[in-house]
Amino acid sequence: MSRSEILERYVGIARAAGTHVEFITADDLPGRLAPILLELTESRNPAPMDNPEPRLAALPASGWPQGLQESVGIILAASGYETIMPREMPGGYAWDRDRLARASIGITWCAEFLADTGSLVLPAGPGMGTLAALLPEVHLALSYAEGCRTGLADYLRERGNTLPRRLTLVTGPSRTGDIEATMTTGVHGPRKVLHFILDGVDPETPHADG
Amino acid sequence: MQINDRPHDFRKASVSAVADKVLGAAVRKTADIFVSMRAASIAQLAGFEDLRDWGRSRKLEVSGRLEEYALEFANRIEAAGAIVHFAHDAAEAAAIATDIAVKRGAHTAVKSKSMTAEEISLNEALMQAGVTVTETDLGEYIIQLAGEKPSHIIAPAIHKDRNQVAQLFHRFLGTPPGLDVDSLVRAARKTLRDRFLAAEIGITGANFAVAETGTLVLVTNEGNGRMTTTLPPVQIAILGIDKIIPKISDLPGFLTLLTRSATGQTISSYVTIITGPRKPGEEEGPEELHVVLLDNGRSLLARGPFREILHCLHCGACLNQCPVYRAVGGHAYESVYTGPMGDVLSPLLWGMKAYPDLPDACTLCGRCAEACPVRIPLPEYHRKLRILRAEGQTQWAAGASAAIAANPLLCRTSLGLLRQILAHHEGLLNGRTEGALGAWTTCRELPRPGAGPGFRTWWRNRERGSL
Repeated sequence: MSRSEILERYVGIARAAGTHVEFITADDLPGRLAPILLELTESRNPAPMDNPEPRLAALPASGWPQGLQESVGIILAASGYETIMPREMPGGYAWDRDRLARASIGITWCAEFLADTGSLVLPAGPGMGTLAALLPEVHLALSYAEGCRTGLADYLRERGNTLPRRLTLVTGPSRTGDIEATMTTGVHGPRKVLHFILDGVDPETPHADG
Repeated sequence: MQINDRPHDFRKASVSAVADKVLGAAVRKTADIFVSMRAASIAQLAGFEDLRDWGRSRKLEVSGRLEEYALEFANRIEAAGAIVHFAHDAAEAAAIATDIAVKRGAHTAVKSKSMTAEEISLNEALMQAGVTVTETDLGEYIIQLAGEKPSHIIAPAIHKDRNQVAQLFHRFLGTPPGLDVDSLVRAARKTLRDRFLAAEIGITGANFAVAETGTLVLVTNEGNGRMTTTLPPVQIAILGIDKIIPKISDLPGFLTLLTRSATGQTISSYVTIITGPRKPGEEEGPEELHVVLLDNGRSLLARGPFREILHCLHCGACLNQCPVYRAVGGHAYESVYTGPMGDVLSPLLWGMKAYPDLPDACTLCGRCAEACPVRIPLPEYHRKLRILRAEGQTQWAAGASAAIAANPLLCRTSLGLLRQILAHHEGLLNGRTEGALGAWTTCRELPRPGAGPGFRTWWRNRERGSL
């Protein structure tokens, strides 16, 4: 499969799993992120959840490509959001867990994602803050198209079958069918997962050549 | 967890289960959803049958050298910083886990659904030691509030409708009565979120354990597996040694087999792949990771005629297909393991005396074997268990009929006599509920011999060409 075919496969499978995949440019980020942040504070639909801090966003401290974390921070501040990150302390990082648990959105960098299963790959590590992708109501992952891999087997092979201390695959929102087999999202983790791919063109959108 | 001390009576339990129309309808509705999702998911994947063969061969590799693989896994995950405990039986495993909690002075634990923890009655042991355990899988939480048992391995609370859940939440969580499903889920999120943040211990099972790398793999859709292994300071993972797979490169194949067979998903929402406790500098994960490796008869099973039951992925596909399970639901099995795999595993784990008639909860239709992702010969195992059970029993009726059949004259005379008796005394056998033949005649009518010549005479005439 060519790179663009692999990406197309990712988009199809991830969307079927309930991830909202969007192709934007880095320049579009403020224009696309601001309405999402606004919607979270205003039209809280469905009814407000348990977090009393709607204008709080959680971000990992490490793992970002040059400058992106700062850009996201500026957009958040402009939308009236406060940012919480793992704090750097002597000997490592620490979360303020009680505040983190009340954040309404978590924004994370996702270096790699898997086409075969439509999954985001979240490795753990100092400052990698994977809880930002778990505790808030909404998780927004940002990637470059080049981060797309065929599947878990390829991902592992590339690393010589060695693993980070903890690796999480995220495919769509947190969901349950435990009451009357009615599919409901957001039972423990995010009720919504968004994935912005910051370059490349949406393979599912028809477009003119050239 | 064997629920009763007395022998389990499946026939009796299934009578009341079949009478429960709400349970039956809910179980069949859920099973139907899983069956059609599985079928659709497998149809779009090329080579699923080959993958099943591969899965079986990898599991045969493990069950052929179970202790070696258990040791390799233990050594690797210890090298990654975990503390490994070997438990010979259920009581020992529960004692080990309880001891860890007590030594930490812990009073609260959150638990991500684990059949193995149920097998060792861990909740009961921890509660006795003063540790409050909260189930965090929504279905398990609902039945924990209700004080009931799971009716389906994947959807444990499927026998309760939204009104019953709303009543439970109203009573225990103080939510307004009559909430809809979405509001109920949000109420559970709020309550369980607080429990996750406060918990001193996180208890999990494992869907897979990778020997090569010392890795635990947890598969969930709700995210409770992620929460349980990230928020509490201590994690206790309890798993049977049968959960081991040889290499990390085996994981993608087994994940495909598991999730497509269980719910028809390409993959579950979350796959958590854990190799050791929190490392220095990390802000997440348990400081202490305890792994309790449970044998409880498994190493013995691996050397016996039912070896492949250890290959079970606990996907539930055999339950969804089974005509008996679909009629009675999970409760009638009175065991943590239900459906076809439970019919086989419960008597093997707890003894034929505890579960004498579970091997009969099977029509030998073979649908379970068709669905099993690792091709466990479940109908064959049911049959073998029946043979084992029959061995040593006094089979007077079979013995007498064999003796009669071996003697042509005796056979002819007795059959002719029986024909005469039945032709003139219709009520002699039918309608009886007692005695040796009662089991036959309570639910069947023995037909009255017809007015014709009878089979032997008919056959003789046919031989002579006078038909």
